Amino acid sequence: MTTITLTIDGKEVKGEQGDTILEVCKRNGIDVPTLCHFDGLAERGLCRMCLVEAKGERGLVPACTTEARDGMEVTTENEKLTALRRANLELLFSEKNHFCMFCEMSGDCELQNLAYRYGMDHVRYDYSWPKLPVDATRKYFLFDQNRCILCRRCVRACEELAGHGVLGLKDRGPKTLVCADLDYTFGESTCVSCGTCLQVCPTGALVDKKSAYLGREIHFDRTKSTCTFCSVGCGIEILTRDGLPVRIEGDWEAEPSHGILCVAGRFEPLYEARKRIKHPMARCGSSLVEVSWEEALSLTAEAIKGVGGPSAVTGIISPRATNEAASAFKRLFDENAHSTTPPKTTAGDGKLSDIEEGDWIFIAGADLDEEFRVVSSFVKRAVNRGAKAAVSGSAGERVDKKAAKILAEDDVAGLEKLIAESERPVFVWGPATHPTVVKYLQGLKNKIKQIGLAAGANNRGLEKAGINPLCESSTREALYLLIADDVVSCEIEEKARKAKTLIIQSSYINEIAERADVIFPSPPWFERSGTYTNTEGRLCRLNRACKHPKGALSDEEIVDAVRRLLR
Amino acid sequence: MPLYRAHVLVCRGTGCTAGGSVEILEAFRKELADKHLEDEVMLVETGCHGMCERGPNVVIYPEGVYYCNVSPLDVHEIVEEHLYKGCLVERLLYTSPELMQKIVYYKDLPFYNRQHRIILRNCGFIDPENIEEYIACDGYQALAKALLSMTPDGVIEEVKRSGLRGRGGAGFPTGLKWSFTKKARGGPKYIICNADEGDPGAFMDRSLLEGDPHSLIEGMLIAGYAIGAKEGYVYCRAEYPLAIRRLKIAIAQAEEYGLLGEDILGTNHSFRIKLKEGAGAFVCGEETALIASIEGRRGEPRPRPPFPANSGLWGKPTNINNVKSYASVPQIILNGAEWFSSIGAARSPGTAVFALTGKVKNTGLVEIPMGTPLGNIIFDIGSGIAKDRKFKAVQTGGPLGGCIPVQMLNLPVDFDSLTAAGALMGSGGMIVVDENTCMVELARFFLQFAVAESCGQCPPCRIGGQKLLEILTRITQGAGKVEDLAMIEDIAGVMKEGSLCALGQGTPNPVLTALKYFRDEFEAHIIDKRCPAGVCTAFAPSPCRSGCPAEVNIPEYISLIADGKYDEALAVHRQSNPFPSVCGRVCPAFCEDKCRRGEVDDPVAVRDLKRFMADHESAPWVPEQLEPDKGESVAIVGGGPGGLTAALRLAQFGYRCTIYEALPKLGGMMRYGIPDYRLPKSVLDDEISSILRVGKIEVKTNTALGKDVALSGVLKEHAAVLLAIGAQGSHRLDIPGEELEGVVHGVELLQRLNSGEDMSFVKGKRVAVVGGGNVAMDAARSLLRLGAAEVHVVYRRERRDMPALTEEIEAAEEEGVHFHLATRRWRRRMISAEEERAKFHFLAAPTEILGAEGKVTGIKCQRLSLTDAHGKAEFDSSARKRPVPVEGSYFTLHVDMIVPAVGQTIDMSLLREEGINQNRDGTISVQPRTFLTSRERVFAIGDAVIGPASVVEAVSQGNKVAKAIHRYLRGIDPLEPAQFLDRPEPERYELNEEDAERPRAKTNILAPEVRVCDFREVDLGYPAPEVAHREARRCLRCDLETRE
Repeated sequence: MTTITLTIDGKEVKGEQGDTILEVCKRNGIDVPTLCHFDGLAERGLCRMCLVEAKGERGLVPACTTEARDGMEVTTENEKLTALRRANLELLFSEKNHFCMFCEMSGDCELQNLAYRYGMDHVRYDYSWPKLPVDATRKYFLFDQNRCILCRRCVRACEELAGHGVLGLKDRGPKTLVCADLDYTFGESTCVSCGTCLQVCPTGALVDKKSAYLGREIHFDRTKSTCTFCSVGCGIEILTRDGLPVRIEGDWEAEPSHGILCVAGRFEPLYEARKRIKHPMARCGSSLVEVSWEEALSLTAEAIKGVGGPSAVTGIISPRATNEAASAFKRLFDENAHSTTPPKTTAGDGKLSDIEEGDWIFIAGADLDEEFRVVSSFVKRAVNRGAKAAVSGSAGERVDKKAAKILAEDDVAGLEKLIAESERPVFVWGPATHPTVVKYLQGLKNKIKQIGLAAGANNRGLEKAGINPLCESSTREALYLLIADDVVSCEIEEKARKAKTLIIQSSYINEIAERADVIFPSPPWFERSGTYTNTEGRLCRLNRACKHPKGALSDEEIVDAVRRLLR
Repeated sequence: MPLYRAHVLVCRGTGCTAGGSVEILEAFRKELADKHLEDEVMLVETGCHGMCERGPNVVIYPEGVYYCNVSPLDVHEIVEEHLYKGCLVERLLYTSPELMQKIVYYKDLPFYNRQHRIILRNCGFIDPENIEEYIACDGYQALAKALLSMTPDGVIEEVKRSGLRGRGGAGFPTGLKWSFTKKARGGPKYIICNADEGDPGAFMDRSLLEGDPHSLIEGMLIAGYAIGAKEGYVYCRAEYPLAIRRLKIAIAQAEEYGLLGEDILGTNHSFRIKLKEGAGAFVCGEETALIASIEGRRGEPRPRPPFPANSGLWGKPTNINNVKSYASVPQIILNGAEWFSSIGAARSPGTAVFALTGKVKNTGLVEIPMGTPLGNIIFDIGSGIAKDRKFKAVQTGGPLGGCIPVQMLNLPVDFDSLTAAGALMGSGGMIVVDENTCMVELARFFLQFAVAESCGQCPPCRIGGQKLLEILTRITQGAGKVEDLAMIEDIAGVMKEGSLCALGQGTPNPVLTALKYFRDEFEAHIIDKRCPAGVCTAFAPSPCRSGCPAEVNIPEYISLIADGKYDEALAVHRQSNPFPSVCGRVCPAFCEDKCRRGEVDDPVAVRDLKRFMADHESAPWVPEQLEPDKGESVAIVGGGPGGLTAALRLAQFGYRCTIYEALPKLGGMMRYGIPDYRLPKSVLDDEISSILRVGKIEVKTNTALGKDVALSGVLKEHAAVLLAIGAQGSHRLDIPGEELEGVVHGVELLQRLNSGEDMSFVKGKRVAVVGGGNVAMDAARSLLRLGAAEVHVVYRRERRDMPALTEEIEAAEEEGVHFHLATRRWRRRMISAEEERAKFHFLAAPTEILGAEGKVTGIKCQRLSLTDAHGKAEFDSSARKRPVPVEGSYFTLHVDMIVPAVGQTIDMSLLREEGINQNRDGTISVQPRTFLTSRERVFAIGDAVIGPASVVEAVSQGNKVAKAIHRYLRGIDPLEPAQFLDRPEPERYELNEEDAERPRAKTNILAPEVRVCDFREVDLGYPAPEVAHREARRCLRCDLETRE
């Protein structure tokens, strides 16, 4: 990297060769106003807020797209620029409905902030008063064209970051509007509700319904954590107010997805409809009654002792459990500890970021539309930049549409041929990969990048802890089920029905709860802390965003307490 | 190769094709076959000739005979007469509007012979679908020269030295641009031709693509060789199907001939051209948007740098030029840089191609050397303004360009001069507008286009443009505010500084230039609630009414005349103008110039109808009193039409008035300036006495201000004073001999005649009248009637430049005033065509009055020319060429009386002492809209303020000043918001088929030989009421069209 020196606002500052003026300003703590700029998105220089004076340039130049050169003399603030920026803001305010007092984003809005910064206390231009539709057809968010400033961050984020490329623009001139697909409502469009657009919108045009009007940024606490809903392990920020989660946002800095989430990680957890288990409960005759933690623990220990100790109990643990819970579980049940995931496992030495580099992306045995949605963003992005995708069987309807080649599920020969043709092949394969393909891939070993997608969120962690998938033979009459906030599969339900002794650690009331002898409240995702190991083998940190109810124990604490009582 | 004795070139440009050239070609084929001439005559389909106005065009070689407005039905005659018998088909020849004569040869057409065709040299001359015709015209020779004898750097150097600048409009040096792309790192490199011509009214690129597609291909090939690109794209809008088809044919032919493809002409240079059809977005003419469009993305510009030369198509170094830039290159390579740079202007060498459209007589495609003055393009090549209306402005550079007003007609057309004027070279649209165009509406029209075509990315363009449009729309609809003008400039500034691309930066140009040069029109819309051009229907219920200075409700009284209700019609007329009898005879009838019926056939004869109703009034008119007596009095100095109107209105408002008139009788110039044969004194007397019937008006004749009464004295007696003193002084010729006996100034002559003085001294005299205005005509015609032996009119410009009313000039001519060498021998008017033409040689100026013994014996004149020794013309602020003396071209008219009539002056000597300021041109200086002079309580109107004008203009000012004085005396804000003109009540109005087809009725006119004997009225009016009624029914009542 070559260092360059330039003068900005009279100060000598340093930057790196290739930096834009804006980047140099950022490095040096000079705050240049922007609206259409968003870190990670391609610069368009269209909002004209960051126009600066640069000596020798014809007219004003946008700081975000203009490369800084050694010896450049730049002015970022003066009377003329201030007047121009204020006029620009006035134009934006006069274009549509930007009456802050009625807006959800008031206080957190970039447009509003700039208006304050530039002392825009009134608008000289006549308001245009357009009547534009509000699109509320999506369950989780709404789009209000009336507050849109057409900065196109959402359009670029949808294309460049999320890869879905659903959002676009229709018409031109003053009639220009952001639209989904060929001007459908969001609900009718191919939008997958990943919500990336919400997170980049500078105004109140794209609004999360759940957290709308629940407060401003200053009212919320933010906790960085990890999404617990699949093995990708996306970094999230949990926004809470008064001890309750109100919104989930992607963590732009976190591996592996850098802020991209899916509907299951961003919205669905906040719409949890199951009844929370808040206290330990124990069987009393035909019904369950609330008991103290001590009572529940001793009842559990007695029950286990009653059937002959941990070796006579089958321990089943959900991959929602943390590594710490898994270790405790393994310590308690040792060989009898099993996970709820299916027996087939997938593995690989590749990282999801390898998809960025590939020229051919192969996908097998995973529905990226439904199961590993964020992985579909990786694949779509690769296709958008010109890579080709090949699918064995199906990778979900939307991903299949982007694929250059669709092969039969077991067409190893076809795969072989394509892999041979490609320069930097990347293979993404999931739990449902056809056995012959699995065999082929195992044979390839390290010859190509392979990314195995594990079925459950912390499956890799459970594997590492030595917990194997449940097999038919290993079921005993006593069952200890650490289901956490997972749902109960039919298979487990079947086993639980047959069990004579049933201990459950669960966050929510579920189908088998009524059969339990003892129920421990397991902390749900926003109260859980610890670590996960994602499908790439990366250790991910979970942080509790909300306090436990008083006296409550974490999953590992419960298991450890039971173990202590059994000693 | 077969030889043909004749080639028939039929234009297949878009304009002519729309006019039926396909059918014409078919007809030729059939006729030639019928006459067995197929082997002798070759039929050629060509591209656009340029003169689309006269299409379809047919040119027949070897003679080069040009036939215009040809229809398929004419083909038989052309083949029969021209090709078979060798005779001309005269009726299809072009008639020059200037000389009114037929022009036979293509090369002699003023439209063509003033052009310099380099880029368009082959258009209309070769078959664009035949590569061999292009090759026969030196085609692909430049390519061979470049590939075989020049290095790529040598080619670039040659283009650089030629000084060629980008013909897309920005004018960036083409050679420099090429060198950037050549130097740029990375590859492959691309060449793009921008053929996304989207301006309304522009068709240069299209015509070139349609008429000579190979010149573009050759230019691109050379550019590809110079830059090191092997692939080129032509981005052409899909709305140009013929251009695309011909280009495809040309590409295929070039490939077939090995001129495109691998190893061209045996060298290792290879090049291919792909055609990309654009979807017709104006913004895709912007290079980065165009690139985005080729790449399959939304056509939107991006900030530059990086420039396409470094990061263009697919991020690779790319050179983009306009069609005309590439097409210029082969000629530069072939003829050398020096040849090219010797043409045109120093900093803008070469030629410019313009699509000349709008209100000019010859619209079409024009190629001129850079630096040609605007006026020459419009008035020489374009032959002036259609319908001989007044030139107002020309919009250059398309919707992002600007308008250039009449005072800038001498502006040389090149990149830098146009930009300095606030307009643009642009891609070369040139839209001429006349006096009937509203500049606010025109600016709004262009703005509407640019706003709709904005890509919508950046707020300054997207929202700023919309705001400007809202403001302009508001102004044209009558809701403009005075602050709007500052707001326009403010928003335009934000757009110019802040917009991302040239579209946004250029969008305010038409508005800004309109505001710069026509601010008074904007103010008229906002403050006066009037559209001077009569276009904006919010202000002008009908065009005629907006054309009338007094805003007489013409449609309404015309309808009343049609019903025979003359008294009611007169009442309507007198609300705005109390001189129906006078104006029915002498009004210039501005209304008729604007009449919409005139667009169909001829305008309604408003003036003749007015006279008819005035002549048929059943009872004397008594003006009604509108307001109670105010107990105040106003002095009016001058009893002409303005003073009388003001007195009438003030009396109606309840003021007592005293008219101080210097001469023995009231009437001013109506009495002392207009001879009886146009306005009989009895008619004037009746009109004045009916006005005085209002009462409250005291008349003091023979009372001259400054002589008999002093202004300060008058001010003591009256609450206010109105100066309506007219302009009775005469401009002097300022040549030797003006003091000789026998020199009588025009105004003085007429005044003496109309005062009843003995004029017998004129009898038998040979007289020279100097001047071309109405006074000159009145003097000349009166002199004939007084028995002058000869009357010469000496005028320094051409006939079409004469300010006098056309009908006056024609009448004078009929009566025997010959404008160069006049005699009374009207019976011998059947003179030869040569002499007829000589009569129009007006260009003469007197240099000396010759005399002997103190008396006039003759006048020495010098001939003038409209061009200087270098053939250059200079336009003055009236859009007329300024005459320059021709050295040594003196001639003498032997006359014994000289009547100079070259303008009137105002006698300000006494007023100046009284504290009345005057303007530089000698008129009294007054505040606009209030008519207040520099002295308190003193107002002024009429000829003394606006210079010599018509009765109706004086009446208009009389009406207005009466209101202003009324407001002043009542303490009301003089700038009280103006009122909209009232709208007609909804009514049933039906035209029948007969009305729609009836020609304009003519009045009875005395024969020249009868009328010239004495001063009896020449125009006898309509012979019968039915004639008038039927004429009145020709009115279309367009005022009803816009009613609520």
